[in-house]
Amino acid sequence: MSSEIKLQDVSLTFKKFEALKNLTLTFEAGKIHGLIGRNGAGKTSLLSLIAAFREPSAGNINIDGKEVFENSEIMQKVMFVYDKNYDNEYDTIPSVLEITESFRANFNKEYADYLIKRFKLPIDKPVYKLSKGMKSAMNVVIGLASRAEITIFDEAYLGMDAPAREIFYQEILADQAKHPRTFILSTHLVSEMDYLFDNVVIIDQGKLLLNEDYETVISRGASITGAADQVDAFAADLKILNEQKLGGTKKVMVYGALEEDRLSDALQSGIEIGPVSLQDLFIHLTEEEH
Amino acid sequence: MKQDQVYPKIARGTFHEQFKWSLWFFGFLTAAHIIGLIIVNITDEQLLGFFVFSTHSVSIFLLVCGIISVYVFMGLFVQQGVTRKDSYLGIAIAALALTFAVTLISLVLNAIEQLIAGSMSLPLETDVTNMFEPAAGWFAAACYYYLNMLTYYLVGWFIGVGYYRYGWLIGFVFVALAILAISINGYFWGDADLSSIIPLIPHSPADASPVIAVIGSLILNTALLISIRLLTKRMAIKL
Repeated sequence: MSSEIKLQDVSLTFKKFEALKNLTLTFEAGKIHGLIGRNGAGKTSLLSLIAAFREPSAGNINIDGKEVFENSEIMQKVMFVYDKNYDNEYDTIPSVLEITESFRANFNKEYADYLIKRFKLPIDKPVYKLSKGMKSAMNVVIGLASRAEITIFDEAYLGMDAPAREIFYQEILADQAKHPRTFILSTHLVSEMDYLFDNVVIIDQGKLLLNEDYETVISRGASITGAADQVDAFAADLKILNEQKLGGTKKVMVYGALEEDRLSDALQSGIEIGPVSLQDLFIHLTEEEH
Repeated sequence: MKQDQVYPKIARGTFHEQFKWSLWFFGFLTAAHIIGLIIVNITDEQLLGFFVFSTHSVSIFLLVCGIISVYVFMGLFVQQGVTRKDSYLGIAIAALALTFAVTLISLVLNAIEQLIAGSMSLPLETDVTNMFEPAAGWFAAACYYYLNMLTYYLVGWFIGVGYYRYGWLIGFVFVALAILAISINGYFWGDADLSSIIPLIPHSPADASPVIAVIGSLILNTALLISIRLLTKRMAIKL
């Protein structure tokens, strides 16, 4: 029930501004993809292309081998949840969900009701009167209960408090186990959500920076601490993301393939090697571009 | 297979929503008409019957429905995985149905008013020279009313699409085009005498033959429908 998304040389231009530049990447089916990027990196532009909200200026976007834009069969497979303006929504949550239910073949009402209770959402208030966090939680209910083959959450947590966000994360994992689909979660809250990701996509200034398995990304990042000359020798052929020096001691953050032999040699020579979080990698990988 | 049947669902949903709005609207309009009858009764004047009375208000109501249709429905449908084509077809069918519904409601309210006028004295004026006056032939009046009201919905939709797609500045160009469309429509139906501005064109076709007015109106509505489809065919949806 999950679908693969393939982008081939995709660009999106607004007048003179290039929001996306020659993106070629694949979102594999059945995985939870974390889409990370700084403000204005082009995350929402990319997602709106996948959801056929707009057409790319150049390139192709295929889902299960078929062009997305204006393709009824394919568009039905995509559920794009974004920070929608509900200022004029006078209906209640159950009425809003009814609309989704009427269009989404896999929509599960019992699951929607269960989520409404879990998020403690009021069912008798008009949506425009709800708090920002509650509106976001309603969006999450719409996205999860639709059980679309491709479910996209674009910063869906906005305004949600920590316990509500935790419910959101738990439900993604629980429902993915029972009803696997392709999730794309765009986020700024990297440290909070990284454990959800099977795959990590980082875009920066409209360009693809990284598209790797989560474990691979994490295994490639390391923090190296030790005597300055030893650390420099160790990190000579690695991509250095950040470095700090205190007296004769140096700490560098590196990104690259680290073989077992090399690691054990380093440990024997007194160099300390520690892990680097995805958040730190994201910060420093995108920082050097600016 | 299922996807081929999306637009009737869109049409039903859009019609249902806009019909709810029209019931509210007719509630207010009927109240206004009753108040009007009470006032003219006191001042010893006469008011046109409900059908003719409603023409201006209903046309503005449909214009507004048309303007907001793209804002209310287009993004909603595309988010639910519906193509622009199906959304367009659905909204267009709903527009035809809504115009039919408001024509019918106006006719029925007019008939009720006539029934009441039969048993009690109401200060009503029947102007049989007015093409919308049912007393001069209700079926023809209803057809003329329908075509005119549909034009207002489509003109509204056209303006809405212009603003939605191009923003407020170019949106004004669409307002100008809409005024032109309304003027052409008025010319067909004898409201605007374009022959006084443009000397070469004949006097109002409605006076000459209602058939010419109907054909002109149909061509105008078709042109509007085609323009809206072309404008929305590959339109970006706002987030």
